[in-house]
Amino acid sequence: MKLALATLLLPAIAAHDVEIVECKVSVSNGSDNPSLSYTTDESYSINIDEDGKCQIKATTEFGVVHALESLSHLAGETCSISNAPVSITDSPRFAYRGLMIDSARHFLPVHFIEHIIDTMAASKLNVLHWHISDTESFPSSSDLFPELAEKGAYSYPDASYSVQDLKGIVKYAYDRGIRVMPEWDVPGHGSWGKGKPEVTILDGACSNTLDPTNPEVYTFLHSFLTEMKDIFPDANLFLGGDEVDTNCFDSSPTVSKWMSDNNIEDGVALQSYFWQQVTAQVMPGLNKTLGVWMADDGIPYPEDLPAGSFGNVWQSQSMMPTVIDRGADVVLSGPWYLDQQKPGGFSSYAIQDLWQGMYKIEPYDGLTSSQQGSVLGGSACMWAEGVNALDFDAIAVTKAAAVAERLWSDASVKDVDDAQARLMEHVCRLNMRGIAAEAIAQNFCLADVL
Amino acid sequence: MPIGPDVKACWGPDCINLPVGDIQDAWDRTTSLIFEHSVSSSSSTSLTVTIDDPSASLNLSADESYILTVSSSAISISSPTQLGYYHALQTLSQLIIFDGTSYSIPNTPLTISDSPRFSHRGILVDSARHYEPIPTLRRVIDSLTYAKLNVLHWHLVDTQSFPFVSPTYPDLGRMGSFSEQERYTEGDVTDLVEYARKRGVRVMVEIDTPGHAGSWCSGYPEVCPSASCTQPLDPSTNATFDLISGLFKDLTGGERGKGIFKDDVMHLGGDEVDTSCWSESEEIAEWMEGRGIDVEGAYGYFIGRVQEIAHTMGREVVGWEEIWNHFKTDLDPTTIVHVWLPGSEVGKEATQAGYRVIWSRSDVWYLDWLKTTWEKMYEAEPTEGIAEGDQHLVLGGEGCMWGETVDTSDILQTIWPRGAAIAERLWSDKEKTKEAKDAEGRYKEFRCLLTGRGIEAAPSMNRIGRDAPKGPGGCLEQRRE
Repeated sequence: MKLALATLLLPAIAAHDVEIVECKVSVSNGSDNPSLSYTTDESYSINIDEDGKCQIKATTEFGVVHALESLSHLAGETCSISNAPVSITDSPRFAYRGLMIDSARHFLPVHFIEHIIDTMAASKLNVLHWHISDTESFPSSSDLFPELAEKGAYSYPDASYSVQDLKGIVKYAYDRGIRVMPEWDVPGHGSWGKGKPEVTILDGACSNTLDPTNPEVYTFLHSFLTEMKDIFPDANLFLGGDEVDTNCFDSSPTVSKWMSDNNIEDGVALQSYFWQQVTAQVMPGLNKTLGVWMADDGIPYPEDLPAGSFGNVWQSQSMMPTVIDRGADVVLSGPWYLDQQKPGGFSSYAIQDLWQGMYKIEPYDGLTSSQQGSVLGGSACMWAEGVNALDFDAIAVTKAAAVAERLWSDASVKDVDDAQARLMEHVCRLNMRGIAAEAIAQNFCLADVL
Repeated sequence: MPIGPDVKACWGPDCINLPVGDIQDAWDRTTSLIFEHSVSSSSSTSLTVTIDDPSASLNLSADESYILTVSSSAISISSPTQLGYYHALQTLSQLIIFDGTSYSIPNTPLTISDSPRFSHRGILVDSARHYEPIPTLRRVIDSLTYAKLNVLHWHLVDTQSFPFVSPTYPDLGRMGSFSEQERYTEGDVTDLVEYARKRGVRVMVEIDTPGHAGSWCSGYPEVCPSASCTQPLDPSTNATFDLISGLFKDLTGGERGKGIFKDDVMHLGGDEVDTSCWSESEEIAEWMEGRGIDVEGAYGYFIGRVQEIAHTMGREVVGWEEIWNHFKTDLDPTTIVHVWLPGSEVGKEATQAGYRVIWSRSDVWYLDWLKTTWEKMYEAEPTEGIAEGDQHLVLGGEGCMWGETVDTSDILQTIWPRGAAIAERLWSDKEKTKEAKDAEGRYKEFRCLLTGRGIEAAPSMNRIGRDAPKGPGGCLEQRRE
């Protein structure tokens, strides 16, 4: 889009620009309730001839959503393009292109989550991994277990999501081609105990770790997740599994006794037992694909999970082949933690190094061609210890866009200078839409003066 | 038109007996395939077969076309070669329906005039990551014919194992196989190639070098850089090329049309070569310096020498796309480039420069990638991005059944039914088969055809390849979750 001189508020349509009056859209495999899943065909084509005659074709409605987003990039606010004819055929490299948000460390209001979904759509990210609860708070409501949010939210009801809110967010995302994958982290990183102390380890050093030795925990989780599975219709369910402090077990006399009575030798074995029970008692009937965090220690072990589960590799990228060989698919997020503010090594221009470092990551590095088939995609993660609605845009959006291109475009699209020019244009576009994405280098954007 | 197991097949306008051997055998196989259920009714249907050249050579330029006519009382097949006849029999077997009491062919009269779009239509099978017993390989070959595929690309050896016992270098197989029972003898190969030939299937062997060769070392340590750094094979010593030459002689008989792998085309691999063992070996590093080449140059040298060996034995060569990336237009013009890297555009580059290609892009046609849906496989297009004038250089393509995560217990359910999506893409007219959703009904039927014939094709509506059915249901209508 040509930027006019600063004297004009909006760019005029120059003589050789072509105005797009209408765009014919056709969907070859559409339906009234198109299904949005890992196998949804997101491809589309846009054809605009010299006279501005425009045609969008896609297999599904979600391809059209992407086409319209691309068209908005081409045509900008003036609905005209300067480089007709245009012929675009596009489809994503990876089907799982995620952004993880954390509403437990800081509550994110419903309208702000909708705003986040808008920022995702602009960069064609398509999985909202919603880390709903953690040690700090439990904001999602449940009709079966109202005490979870009533006692677990930072402030109830204003810092909680009603069941209606949850459904509304899922619908808002669906309309934009975005899947919502909920996460309630277990057995650690939880605040279940605020509302339901009986499912946590009551004696010992920890107050909020679920008690793997208590059979009620599994019946409870099954009931809770059975209620949640229709509120969140996505095929994936994420249950965390990360950073369990085994001191929680060792310091509890009841747990220690149970372990010795049942020949469970240590905290690692107890976690193995926990996930085996989740597989046997919690997951059946939910009809969900299970996802868990996969740290360098390899816990939870894929052998303890249902077949077809996936691990989100969040520490070393080099863990990917190990996880794949153990039988799980993988999503990569380790190099894409958006709360990371300092790049490795000394630099005066942190944002430059950060987005470029994220952009240069190649998910297939270190994988045999056979292992590559198990990579679902990746996820940028916006942990919220130090982020809330007031600074989310600035910290997350620009870097997430770099990750989004890595996940959408072909591996050969990796020239950083070329990407920078396009990213700066994209940031300006986002700014013009009221999204306060972080600037990365010197330029002029009309949003600066509006 | 009613039809029964007593249908008579005869040869030519004079309706004499079918020629004994391949032609009669193919008919016998077809009738056992079709007439599984015993019926008491009889019909007076006859099949007339006319083949111009019933013992045509099985190669890339063979004519596989046929015309199948079914009137109200007679069937006729006419084709230039026996290959078209085999395909016509498959088509005929798909037309015949059984209603519980008797067989018939509906919608008669009909005439089908058919021929494949691409001449190289294959499945790669990997017997190195897991040994595949001979009975399994036979069933794979049978299943190829049901989908009119015509090439078995046999990735015979790799780093994990060397299951072939070469008479000239027996320790390759003795020391390199997983176990004594996981080996192929010359006789095994001869029998299997003949089994395939009778069914119109070419067997193209692949001996992958210089990488993917860690198993060669245990038998002949002199061909690898060192005991701890076992690949790529050592380019600095003639021992390596003597061994390769001896092995190739065992496979090819040293001459075009001879040997146990008679096919004109041989795949030499050349992919994924990590040259660190060359740089780390003092000897090899010295040798490279002496020749004034770096590791890239050494790779090119190795590929060049092995290609020459194959050429002197009358073989045309295929190599994975890395050889194109290295040599570009210095590559021997008769070499066929096998495209495989995810998102690769080598198909376009190589054909633009006049080279022939075979297409197996991993992000769409690797069968071990369980997440690739049949729709995605179906809608892949081997000539994508290639100028119309160059498209004839795309010989065809292959679905690749790499063996890291399959073995004999689940290989057929991983190849099928998604392999059928690839088979249709390679056989059928592009304009008529653009959208997978138009093929869905036929795809489901074909899966039932496969399972009906004892080929364990996975449920067709699986979201991922090789997964159990989600609940009770018929063969055709399944839950898709």
